[in-house]
Amino acid sequence: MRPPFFIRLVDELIVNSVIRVACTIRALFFNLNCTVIDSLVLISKVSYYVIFYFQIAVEVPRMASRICLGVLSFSKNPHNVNFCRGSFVLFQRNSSQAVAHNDCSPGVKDLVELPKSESFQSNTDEEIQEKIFKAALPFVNTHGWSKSAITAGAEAVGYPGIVHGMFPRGGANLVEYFYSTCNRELALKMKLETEGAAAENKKKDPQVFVAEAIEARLRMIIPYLPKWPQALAIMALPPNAPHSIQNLMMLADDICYYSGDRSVDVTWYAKRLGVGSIYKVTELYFLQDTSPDYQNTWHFLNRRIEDAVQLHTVLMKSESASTLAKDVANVTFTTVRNMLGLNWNR
Amino acid sequence: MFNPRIPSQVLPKVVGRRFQHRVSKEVDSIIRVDHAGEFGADRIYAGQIAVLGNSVVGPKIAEMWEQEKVHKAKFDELINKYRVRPTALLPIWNIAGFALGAGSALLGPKAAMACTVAVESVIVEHYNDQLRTLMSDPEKNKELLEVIKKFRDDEQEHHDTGLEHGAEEAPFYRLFSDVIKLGCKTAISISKVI
Repeated sequence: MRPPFFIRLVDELIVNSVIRVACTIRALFFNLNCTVIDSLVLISKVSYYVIFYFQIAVEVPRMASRICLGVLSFSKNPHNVNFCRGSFVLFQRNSSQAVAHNDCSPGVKDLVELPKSESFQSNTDEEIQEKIFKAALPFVNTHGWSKSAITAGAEAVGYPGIVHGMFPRGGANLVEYFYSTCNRELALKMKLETEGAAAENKKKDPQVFVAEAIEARLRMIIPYLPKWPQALAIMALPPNAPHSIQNLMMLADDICYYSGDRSVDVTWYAKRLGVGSIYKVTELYFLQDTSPDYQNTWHFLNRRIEDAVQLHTVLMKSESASTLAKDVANVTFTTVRNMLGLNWNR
Repeated sequence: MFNPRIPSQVLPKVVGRRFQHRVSKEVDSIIRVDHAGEFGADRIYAGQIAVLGNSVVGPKIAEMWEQEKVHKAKFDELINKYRVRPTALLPIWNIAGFALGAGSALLGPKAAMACTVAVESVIVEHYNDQLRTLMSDPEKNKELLEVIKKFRDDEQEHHDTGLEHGAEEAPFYRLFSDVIKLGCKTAISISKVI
């Protein structure tokens, strides 16, 4: 089966053209005379920074406007939110503990795993929200990422369906909950893994580590794969975009950190952007993958990572050029200094 | 079905909030701006050494530069330990710092010292502000408090060294130091955020 048009477009246009350009540049580098290479690399490096900062200059106002939009749409109905919260608190005061878990269907009860002694005693907003989200996830495949899924989940753990008013952005809140929980689970896994590897004194190749981490993260989506395109669409809406970008960047940051990246300069950003975009592109490919055990996706992922590593080596090779540039600058500086007579006491 | 293999008690409780398993927002911004600051200071001394390396004040500047290198190494370590994002403008501070150091040194050793005094006075003030913020929870921020206190004292020493070497006799001292102070303060407030 051929993948849908837009996915072929992403694969062909964006990804492959970047690689083709990179390979051409690399071929150029290896074949040209050394001095010419260095000056070329210097120019490319400078333009890389220029482009990088230009992008930031373009992106920041766009992000800011998105955030403003989000804030606006949220503050439009604060009354609603407060009203629902208020009635919810009232409900809590009036209801006895008997409501707790006796009403749940057995399947849901197992899944939710709420310790009975703790329920209804730790009543902070966030914990209640977490309970409801957790219970709502099994309903996603029937109701989609929507308010009705949250309602169904809330009713399953003994809250009235109206508590969906606690979540002003409805399905988006549910998606974000799922996304960040998966992120945390993956972060914990990676932490345990790196600690184990450190104890046994064998470190994994970062390339392999990143591939495995992204694969593990994507596998967490499998139960909801049929409804995942809807989640992607919800996350792309302007009011939700800041949160979803943040979640994605947290994921990329975790993966980079645990793979052993300890950079403290601009490469910090380059690496996280790289991992983030590889994850996003692979996720798109993943949606339409029908191969057994999603083998095609994992091949696609490995190809993208190889490309990124190639690009990285090219950039690393340009380090030699910057030392040359430094030497040239030094020589110029010394000459000027001598001409100005600042060296008289040598 | 979403059934976490790891028991939910192990995961941090808070949902969908920024920096779930990172440091607080204040500490985050403090470490980022300090790292940028020490990086900039390192570059300023590098610029001064490039010009005045062989003059009378050369050894004194080199001595201060060594301390700044230690400071920078410490913040490189802290930024990784606390998992703080480094500022995105490092390449700019790199160039600006070197230009400031070399530029002031070209005006003579006294102007270089005046530059040191201006920069260090802003940094000392800035560290004192941070110490006040961190004192709200001395137990939790113990390590950071100790590091910043020690660095603050070092910077104060640099400030005094600068004055001893005739910083105030530099041409246009008042104007010169005011301009540099303003620049440093702007850089600090930018690095706190970006």
